[in-house]
Amino acid sequence: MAISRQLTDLLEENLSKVNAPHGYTALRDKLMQSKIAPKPDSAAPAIKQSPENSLKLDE
Amino acid sequence: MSNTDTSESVYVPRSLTVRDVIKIVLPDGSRGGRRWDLVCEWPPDLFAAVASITERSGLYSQQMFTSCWDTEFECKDAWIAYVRRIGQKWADTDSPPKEVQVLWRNLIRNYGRASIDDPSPGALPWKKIVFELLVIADEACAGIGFLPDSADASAVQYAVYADYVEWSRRSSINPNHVGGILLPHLPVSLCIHVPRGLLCVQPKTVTPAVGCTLRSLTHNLALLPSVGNVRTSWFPPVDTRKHTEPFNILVVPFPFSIPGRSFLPVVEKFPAGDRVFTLDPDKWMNRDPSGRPTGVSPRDFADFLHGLIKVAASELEPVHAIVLPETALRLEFANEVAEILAADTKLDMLLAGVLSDHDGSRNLAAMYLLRNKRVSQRWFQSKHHRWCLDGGQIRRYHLGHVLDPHSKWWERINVSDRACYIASFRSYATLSVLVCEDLARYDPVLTVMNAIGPNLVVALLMDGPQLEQRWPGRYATVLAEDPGSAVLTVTSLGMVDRSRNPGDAENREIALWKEPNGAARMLKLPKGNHGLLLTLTNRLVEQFTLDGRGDGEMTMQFALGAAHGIAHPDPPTWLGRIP
Repeated sequence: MAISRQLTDLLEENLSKVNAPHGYTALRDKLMQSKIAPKPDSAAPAIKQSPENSLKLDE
Repeated sequence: MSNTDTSESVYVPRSLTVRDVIKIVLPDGSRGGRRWDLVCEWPPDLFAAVASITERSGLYSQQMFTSCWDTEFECKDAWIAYVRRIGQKWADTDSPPKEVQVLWRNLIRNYGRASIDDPSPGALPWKKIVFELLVIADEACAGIGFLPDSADASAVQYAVYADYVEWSRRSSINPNHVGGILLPHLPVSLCIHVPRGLLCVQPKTVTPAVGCTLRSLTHNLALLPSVGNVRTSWFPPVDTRKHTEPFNILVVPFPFSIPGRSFLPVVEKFPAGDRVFTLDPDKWMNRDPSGRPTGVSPRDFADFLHGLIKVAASELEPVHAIVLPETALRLEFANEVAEILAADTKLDMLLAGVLSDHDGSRNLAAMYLLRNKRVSQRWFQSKHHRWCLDGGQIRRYHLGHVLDPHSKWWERINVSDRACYIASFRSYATLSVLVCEDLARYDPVLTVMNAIGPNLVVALLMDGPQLEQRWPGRYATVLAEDPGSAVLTVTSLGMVDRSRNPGDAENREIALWKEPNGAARMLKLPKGNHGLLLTLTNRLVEQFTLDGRGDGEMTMQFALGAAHGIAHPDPPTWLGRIP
């Protein structure tokens, strides 16, 4: 899947129109903490899409 | 034991326990740290664990959860209100509610060693706990994967959408990037501590109204196979258009004629003697080589489509999407057509069957989302099963002069990269695409279709007339019943025409529409026309899980509101003879 920067901006714009709910910041901080847990023994391999999906959109 | 003891040692198979499954699904612990005594902090992680137990134990079929006439029936109004309240509480806070923590602790401490395939009444206590945790996790994820509504966005829903923003930012630089800031497996899974090589969890849109399965118990989350089996990507909506607007699709059944020599035998053979063929779209692209010696350019093709859009817009409604059948275009050609249409029209979407020469030839469904004069998003979904042309089909399509009807012929395409894409194209509506054989073969993509239940499934075919009694109609009916998706199958007029015997009446059924609770509608291309403009109306309906929970009318349902033939005012000669 290829995504343009413009689309990212649109997603962000959509989100900016929604007030972050009351519990969001605490949830985000809690989930960030969970990333500090010890690394697993074997990391998940990178995902490799098909050649067609690995091409960036020209911008 | 004496020397004369002749007793045999008998192998006693090990049972799979509740704790075993939890540790398999969450190998590094329910919160990392290799501990499982505390409940997962993230609802999709909990869902993955308890849904796995639910599926493997078959507990979803217990009378007490599904049969309101049973004396032990659990899921009464008070219970539904309770699980909703707990789920909502979790969705709005940073920690699982105390009730969830207590349930988990009870499950691990008192029933961790219970065999998940224990059918006895003694297993019912832990099955009740698992069922309750499953439902609460699902309720906590209401709206997940969709744009939050300012009025009632939950922290969980907002966190997921925010992380899609982060993922998309990285993905715009590296299309193979996986993971946002919080969720390491986006867009292929919502989980944090569940390896995507084991299983994935994604949002879902349609709850089956029939059947008794795990899928009938959830509104918001779907349990999916590992990414090794099929990689499912979910993309949230960018279009905030109100759901009441109709969605207009222009179906262009190109190519309008297909010469037999488009089917090319290949030298290689399978060991059993089966033969191999390829398709050459160049043979049908320019049917007027003397009049167009330089060939047909992407601009020419885009102008032809633009001409159809103008006719449709001036007479009827705006066109939101164009659909072209399987293998209509070459991939690079389609890319350029999409860019031109993005710049010159107000189209939102181009969906086309394309052939790619990358990686040993692929047959793909190409999806282009168009916005602000550019292609803003693009993906290509592989066909996962090769077309096998046997003698019956070779005769039906009158190909006996190019392919030996006494052999079986396999389509020469690369079917690796098992992937499936689900896109939200309206506020509450999702769309997915299938290519031909994928509509008929259960693995790997139909398992995803069933689990997630896209509101609209478009099947791109290279097939004969789309008659209800033929195979596309039968499989479209299956999808419309369970999970309850609306299905549009599209083929080319060229293949429809090839399936006609000389002298027989023409078939012109280039598409078939099947909606939930509706009859199948065969859609004919009128003589002299080049496209069909379909208007899909939509409404929000309420769906219910097997245990009686409604979703508050959050499910979009499409219906075919209108169909019009569209004729190009000045069709180019390179289109060739149009039957």
